[in-house]
Amino acid sequence: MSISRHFFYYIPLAVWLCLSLIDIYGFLNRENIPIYFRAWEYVSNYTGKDAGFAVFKPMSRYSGTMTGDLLNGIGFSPKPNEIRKQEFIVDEYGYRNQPQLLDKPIDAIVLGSSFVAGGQETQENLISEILTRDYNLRTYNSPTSLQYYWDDYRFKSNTPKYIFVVGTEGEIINSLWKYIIEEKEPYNIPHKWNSYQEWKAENEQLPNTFEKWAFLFKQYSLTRFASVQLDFKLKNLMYSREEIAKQSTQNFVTYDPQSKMLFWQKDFDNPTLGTEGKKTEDIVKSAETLKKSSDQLNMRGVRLIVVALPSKTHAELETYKNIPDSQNALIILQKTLKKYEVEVIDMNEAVEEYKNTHSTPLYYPDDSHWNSDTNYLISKKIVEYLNDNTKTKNKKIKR
Amino acid sequence: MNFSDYFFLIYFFPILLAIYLVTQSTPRLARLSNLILIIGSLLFYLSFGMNNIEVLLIPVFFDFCLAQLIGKTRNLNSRKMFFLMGVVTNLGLLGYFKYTHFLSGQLFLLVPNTFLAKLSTTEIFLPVGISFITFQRISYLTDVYKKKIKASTNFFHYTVYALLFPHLIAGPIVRYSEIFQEIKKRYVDYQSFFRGLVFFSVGLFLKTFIADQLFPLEEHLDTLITQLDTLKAVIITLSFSLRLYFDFLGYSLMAIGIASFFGFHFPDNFDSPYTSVSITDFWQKWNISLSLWIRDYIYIPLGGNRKGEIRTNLNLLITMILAGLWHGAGWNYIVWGTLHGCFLVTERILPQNIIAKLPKRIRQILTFILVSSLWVIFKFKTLSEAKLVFHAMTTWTFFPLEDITQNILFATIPAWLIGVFWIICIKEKNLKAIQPNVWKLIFFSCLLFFSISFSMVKRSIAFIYFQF
Repeated sequence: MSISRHFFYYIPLAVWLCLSLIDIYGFLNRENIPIYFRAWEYVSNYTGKDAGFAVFKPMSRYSGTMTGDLLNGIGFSPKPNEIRKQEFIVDEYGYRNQPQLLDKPIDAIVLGSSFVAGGQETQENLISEILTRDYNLRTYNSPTSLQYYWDDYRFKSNTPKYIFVVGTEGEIINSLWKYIIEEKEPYNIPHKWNSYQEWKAENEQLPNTFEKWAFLFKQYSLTRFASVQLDFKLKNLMYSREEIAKQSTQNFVTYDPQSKMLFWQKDFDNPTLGTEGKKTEDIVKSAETLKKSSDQLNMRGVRLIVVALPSKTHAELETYKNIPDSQNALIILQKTLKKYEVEVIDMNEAVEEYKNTHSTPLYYPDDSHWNSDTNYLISKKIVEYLNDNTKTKNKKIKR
Repeated sequence: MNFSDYFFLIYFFPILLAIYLVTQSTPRLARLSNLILIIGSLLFYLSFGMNNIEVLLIPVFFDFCLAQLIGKTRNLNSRKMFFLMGVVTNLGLLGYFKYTHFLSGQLFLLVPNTFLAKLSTTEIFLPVGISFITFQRISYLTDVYKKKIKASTNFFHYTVYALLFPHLIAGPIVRYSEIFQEIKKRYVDYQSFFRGLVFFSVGLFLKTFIADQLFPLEEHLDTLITQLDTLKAVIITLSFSLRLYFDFLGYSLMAIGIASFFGFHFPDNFDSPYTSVSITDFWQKWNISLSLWIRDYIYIPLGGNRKGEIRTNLNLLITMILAGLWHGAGWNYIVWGTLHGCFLVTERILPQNIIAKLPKRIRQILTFILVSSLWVIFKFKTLSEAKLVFHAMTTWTFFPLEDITQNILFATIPAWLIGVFWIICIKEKNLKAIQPNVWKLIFFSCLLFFSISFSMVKRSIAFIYFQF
């Protein structure tokens, strides 16, 4: 091999090797270089365990920035005001709470999906944190199903007074996580981890197949990150958001130029009665199962309270602003729940009231989840409801 | 691990190449270069899983020993016996792994019994690239048997030939005679390095920028297979035709480029096949190494064109049916091969002056339409799906395209434009003639890094021919 005279022909290989070295460095320092688009990924548990038993990496903590989950899907580069600060704290069991919260008796549990876990929300703005901090109602954030709550041994001794099932109207009608409790003794005793390192040593094993390794390397690649960023930046320099949205080749995320908001599966979130997943029989079935669960929880001295909010499509799109009450699935759901004697907080009215007095939206324009204002509104309405519906008046919850 | 995968592009190949070049830097270390290639090839093959690694390794030793016996034995019957033993064993492995399900399933339809039912559902892991590997091994044994080459006496050298990863999985089918000198001794100089850069960067660009970009369109239209109108049926046909070409061409160029980086010279595998003027011409320009293999090891042993007109046509038909079956165990491949065989025979039968009267451009367009239409049968696993496409094409119905189809189609415009430009204006054979200079070095380096970056941003799609 004669390198000396024609050494410059080997420069591409040198550059290529530099890319390899950059990615090796990035991989080895992956804990210190957060290149993830949201904290959720950073603290996600990729061990493949059941989400109900270890949602996040226990005792892990993320303090950084995040952007909406829909931006990447459609190819928008985040504007400065769309890069939000986020703190993400995980307790000793893998749930998003302050550590040791369960060491003392708790008053309530908030149950639901990512809206409750707060994928897009900083720690201090979670419903559980607001209720605990501002209203002195010690609340545990547990984005799992009612069955997991029922099976969880921790709550046999530390039984809350209330369980708040929080979600959008579509989730309350259709999601499995709220569904019926099967009667059995609590058997699940979640492991309590003292530190993230302790959990990591036992759980975060190195991959055992090439595919998993390759996936991991790609996930933490700095060159890939830079390439994606460059692609986004160029596309956003060349086109407006409306143009980018028009060129989008996927069906999942849509952009509404009027509200300047992104929507996740807009067509499937139609809040009109009789549409997909929102038929009268769906609502009745949901009310029946919630009633059964509520009765069982009452036998343990726990009150089940349903908090159903309008979906993003419902709350933010002009199209659905004036649907009559008789066609509004959320209103029908609330009425049906009341008919079945399931406790429900009227969030439809609360949202209407909010919309009339505020110009700001209830959902993040760039994310599928509602924003911190909505979390404060939910917390306030929960407390108002409890105050209005608690028999012992002297135990009113105050701010 | 695909050649266009992140891991290959960022970790495996540049690091392997750097280590290899270090061994090439001094004569003393150069002895290690074959060892580096064997280790690299094994790692590459292992990336597809540990399943059936023995199917790759044991026959290497077996074929080496058999070739030795064939080469050293003077008794003709013994030579023939060793040769047949090798061919039967290799074909047996291919038959077992690739055709057991298909054959047992078809036999079950004729003679239903529990054994065949069980056999057709037994889990058989298809070793990646077994079709190409088998053909390569058979060519080696045949060439030794026919005394075209001498059997390798160096197991190390034979192992390099049998395992060399650039052509291991999807060709080009390289014959021992083509590279045995380079296995013994080769030089990596700036020219071979530049040639490697040209072929690899162009191949990666064609794969990522054309083939992989057309895939979402095809994927989307596949979901609408029962609702196709004429326009969508034409789009799906042309899209697959272009994707298959640029996917396989991209792979072949990358394989030639990788080999060149290591100092090997692999034969060309394409020669502008979509500008062919007939099906006969097409098979001389498409997957050339396979076409030549089929000619030399199936068509000619069957008698070729030496036994009269009828026998020649029959040989052509049999050869193409086998070529179809080689691609996959399914009726679609058999039908596809048979139709190609029929067209080859028809071209032989038709008076040449009638065909020659047509303008060249017309013949090219007709051949392209015919080849692309036949790819529809090749693409779909069931003939009923292909029938749906043909039916939609002939009903002459047109519906407005949905927004999402329009958007996907719009996003593929650059891929279509460059693809069509390549087909019309670029000759693959001319790539070899590009002489190194600084500006070309800069251009192809930029093309390489752009393609690497692009492959990371977009979805990585497996090479179509990897499944064979």
